[in-house]
Amino acid sequence: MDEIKLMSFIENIMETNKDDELNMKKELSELARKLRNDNAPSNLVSFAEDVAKYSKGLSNYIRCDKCSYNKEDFSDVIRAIRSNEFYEWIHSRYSGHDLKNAYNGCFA
Amino acid sequence: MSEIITQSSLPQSDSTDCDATRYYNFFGNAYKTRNTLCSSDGINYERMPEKLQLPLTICPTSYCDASCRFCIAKNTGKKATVDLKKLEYALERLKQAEAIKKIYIKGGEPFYDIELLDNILKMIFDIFGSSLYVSITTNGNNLKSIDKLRTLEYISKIHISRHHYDDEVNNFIFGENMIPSSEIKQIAVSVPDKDMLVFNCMLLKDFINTTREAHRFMDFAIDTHIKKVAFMSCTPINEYSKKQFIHFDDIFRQDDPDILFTNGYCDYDFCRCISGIYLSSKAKSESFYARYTNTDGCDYLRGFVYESDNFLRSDFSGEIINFQ
Repeated sequence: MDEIKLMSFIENIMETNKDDELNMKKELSELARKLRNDNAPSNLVSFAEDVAKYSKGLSNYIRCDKCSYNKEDFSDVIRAIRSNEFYEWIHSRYSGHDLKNAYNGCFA
Repeated sequence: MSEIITQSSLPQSDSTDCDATRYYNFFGNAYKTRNTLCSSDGINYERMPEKLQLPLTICPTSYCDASCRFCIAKNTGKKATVDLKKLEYALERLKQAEAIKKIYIKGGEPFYDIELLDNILKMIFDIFGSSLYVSITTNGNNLKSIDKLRTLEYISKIHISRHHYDDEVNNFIFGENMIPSSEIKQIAVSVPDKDMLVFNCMLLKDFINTTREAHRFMDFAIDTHIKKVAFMSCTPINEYSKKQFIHFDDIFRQDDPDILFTNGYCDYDFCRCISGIYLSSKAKSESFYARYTNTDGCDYLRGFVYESDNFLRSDFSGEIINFQ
């Protein structure tokens, strides 16, 4: 329940700030910081911190036409981040894309 | 020195193998104190460490320039203030007894006499060291003098009482013209620790009374750059507070899609709190905390209070503790 709600929070922050990468990272980092300060369960804290860390790659993902962002895919991305398989997930799904800069540039 | 002298036989916690209270020796006298830490599920309580440390509340003055009808400091009239020499002696004795876990400075209005507050803070950090948790609760009216506090960087939290997001309604609740939100915002962006300031908001039947209103208050806190809101249900100290009482459970609900709960604790029926994060419609986050305390019927020591009449007591208006 809490994990689903946290995913919904993250989704809202990313969607609202999809055209402002810096602000997206700032708000995601702020969310993670507040969870840590509040002594939230460690799985929620580490998840939020991971998402903030990879926010640049995620923001590219949701802006890329070829990756055709939708909510179902986004949940997959989040799950991949949780299991530390983000890069592998992207690679398997978008094997035709240039992945050298998966964390730094557009996947497509 | 403080020491445990015996275990009490009453009351017994439902499913924990230790008593809820025990007797503890402070300054040569035995006091019935709590023996368990706050519980996250209300059923299982862990035993407190053998060495007992409690919070100390200091009230530098009995005077407050506001007139909140639900507040114990309303219409206190005379301006009694603590004697610094006597307070210093009490703090040194409490330090020797290793009896203090944290210090809350409340009132009256602590910022009413900024020089006195500054001297008290300096004294606390000189005696206990700068890492002790120290918080101040203020109505905010003299908050602009915050930069006169020499030990500002060591203060953990400053709680600003603020009971409505609208300045005029807030003034009505306080019975006086209070610091406007624009000034609070200026102060919030200027303090070195951006997490230092917290809004304290009383949940009242006629004012912040619904989930929607609580959301609006947190939207206001986000706009004012205050990173946390502490919502309080009224402690039933008089008829007004009884009539205005709303339990925070009726405001903060699990099915609210804009709220993520992070933790919650209770101390039997006397105190309960929850914490969480709120996400606004503009996707900005705000920490919140909600608490209900009613120590009516609580017959054991939960903390010390040093009041402006220079007596150390067991809780507010409790038994005078002789620390000579």
